[in-house]
Parts: sequence; structure tokens; C-alpha cells
Amino acid sequence: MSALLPNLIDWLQQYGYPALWLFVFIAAVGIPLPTSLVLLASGAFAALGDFNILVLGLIAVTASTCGDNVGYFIGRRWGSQVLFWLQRPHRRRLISQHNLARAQAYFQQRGGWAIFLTRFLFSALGGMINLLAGAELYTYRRFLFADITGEAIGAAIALLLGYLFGASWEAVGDILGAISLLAFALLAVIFLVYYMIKLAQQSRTAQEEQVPTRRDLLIDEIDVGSRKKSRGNLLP
Amino acid sequence: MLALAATVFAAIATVQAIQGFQQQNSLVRADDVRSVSDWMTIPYIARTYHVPEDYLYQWLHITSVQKPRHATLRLLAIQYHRTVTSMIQSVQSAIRAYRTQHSLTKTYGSVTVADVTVVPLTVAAMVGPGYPQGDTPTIYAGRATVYSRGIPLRVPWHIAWVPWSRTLILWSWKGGIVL
Repeated sequence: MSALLPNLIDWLQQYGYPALWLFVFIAAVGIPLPTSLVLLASGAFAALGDFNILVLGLIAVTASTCGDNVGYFIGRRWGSQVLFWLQRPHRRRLISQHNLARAQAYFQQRGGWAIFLTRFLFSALGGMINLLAGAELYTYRRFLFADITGEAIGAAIALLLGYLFGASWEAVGDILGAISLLAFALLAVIFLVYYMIKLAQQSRTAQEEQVPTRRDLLIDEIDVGSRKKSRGNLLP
Repeated sequence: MLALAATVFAAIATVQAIQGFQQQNSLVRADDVRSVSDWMTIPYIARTYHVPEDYLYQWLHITSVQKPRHATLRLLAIQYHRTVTSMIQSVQSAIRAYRTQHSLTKTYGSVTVADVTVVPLTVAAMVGPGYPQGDTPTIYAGRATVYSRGIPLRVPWHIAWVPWSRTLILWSWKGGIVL
């Protein structure tokens, strides 16, 4: 659990909604703050009447969307220049141009899912994905749609769980953190297994093309024999 | 291999987190004082553990005119130059003391009401038969364990005590009894 969390909860109680807006905004820009835990705590406080859960939801979604937009526009302004620089020919290349182009095409194709899932399931990667989406010049409308829907789901999950489980919100936060880690690890395993199967299939096809089969060898033998025969027939 | 190891580690962490949640939640549901934490405010503790706010403030020797309603126990500990642990322990003993003072067991025919914890609720306006005019209208509400012929009824029971008509009202999600 973050050492900052007790301070954040103190400030939340002291300054109320504006403090929550600020925390969520800062975290969405990319500074690591345990906002999901703060949202769980806010939900617990709301259950006993300290806050209104609907206002909390509205604040969480607006603050996180604003913060994500800041990240996106930073990426768009400076990140795209970095990508452009990487694409230029250099003496020592860190990433090959082919890989870079592939990654860009992949992000344009699947970036929406990455943005959506990093709002609530892999929230630790949210800031990085915002920068990347901006740098890749990902369509703003699509970014905004994936962002708002993801953030709304993320805020609803945290606030409702805090509201329902009240004083147990810390333990609920531990579960959410562990589930996020598990989902990420599982996704990595699934991706690696898929990649290995694909590689194995490719190498098998390549081998099949290179190594002659018994049938091929037989055909070759017959071919050589017939040529010899025909050569013999030609002799006077 | 690394990804597999990470998956196993994450699965173990998830199981442990679920177990920790079950333990914590059972303490909270039973209003166990061990679930008092440093992030709680005095009003939060009062409402969760059914103890009057003023009683807790008195116990903690917080006598300032403006009560620090939005201060967490951690912040109160800093303000009153105490450790967070001692502040939590003080609150726990306050709740225990209040429960001992206000715990009662009464039998009404075959129904026994025990482990009662109540909070005085001031009612803004109350008109009814037997209500003494001129007094502050107060009823007491809280929780209790209800035994029917010595067997505990396993649903959470809420209780209200109306002093001027000496009526005890018990209710749960299954229904209510007026004793």
C-alpha cells in the first residue's frame, strides 16, 4: 500500500470534492498516485453520508478524462516528434524501421482496446498509453470515446465496491491490485503461447519447403533413370 | 517461463488477497473493534460501531468547541501529539466501554434480547399516545441478538426503544416484533 495513501485520505476528508478531483487528475496525467484506493475510500465514506456517490462518480470521470487528455496532447506535441526522429536513418538504430512501422500499424488497429483496458484493468499503464496514443497521432475522437467509457467503468467499479464493502475497502483494494496483476500475467502468457505456436508453424512450413520428402526423392530417381534410358536410346 | 512464474505468483497473491478480505469483512460485519483503522473519522466510527459521537470525543479528551468532524484518527493523533496506535487503542476501548455500559439482556416471554447496542436518536417532532409533552423526544436505536426459546435467530436484528411508551421494537428483513 502506498505511503501517500493516508495523506491523500486526510486531504480528501479535509477538502472534499476539489481534493479528489485534483488527485485523480494528477494520477491520470501520469504521476503514480493510488487513486483507485482513494476512490474505494470515497465510496466507503459515501456509504455513511459524507459524500454523494453520484457527484463522486462525476468528479472521478471528469478529472481522469482531463488528465488523460493532457497526456494525449503531450504525446501528440512532443511524442510524435520523437517517433519521427526514430524513423530517420541513424548510424546505430535502437528499433528497426520495420518494427516501428509494424507497431504503429498495430496501435492504429488495436489502440482503442489498449486505451479502454488501461483505464480500469491495467491502470498502471494508463499514462504511458495516453502518451503513446498522442505520439502515434491516434484519432482523437476514438481516443476520447475509449477513454470516457473506460474511466466510467473504472470509477464505477471502485466507488461501488467501496460503497458496498465500507470499512473493508483496503482489503478490496488488495484484491483489485492482485486481479490486475493476474490479468496482465495471463495476457502475457496467452500472447507468448500464441506467438510460440505461430513461430513453430512457420518453421515447420519452412522445413517442409526445404527438405525433400521420400516421394520427391523417388520422383527424382525415376527422372534420372528415364533420362539415362533416353540417352541410351539416342546412341547409334 | 518468466511469464508463467509471474502468473503463478499473481494467482497466489489473488488467493491471499481474497482470504484477507474475508477475514477483514467478517470483522467489520461483526462490528469487531479490531477493524478500527487510522483512516476513520470520529463520525464514521460512531455510525459504524453504534456509539455516540460525543461519547467518543469525551473519551479522547477532545473538548474543543468546533469538533474535528473531518479529521481522521491519524490526523487527530498528530494534532493531539499521540501515536496512531494509541489513538486507535483509545477508540477501541471507548467502544468496548460503551458496549459494556449499554449492553443489556431482557426476556419477553419466549424471546430474549441480548447484546444490545443502542444510540440515542433525537426525533424532531413526535406526536403519539403516551408521549410526554415538553420532553426532548428521543428514541434509542441499534442492534441486538435475538434468541427465541434460547436459540439465536441468525438474521441481523435492529432494535428501537421508545422510552415514553416503554416499547421495544425489533425488526429484521424477515419482519418485526413489538414487545
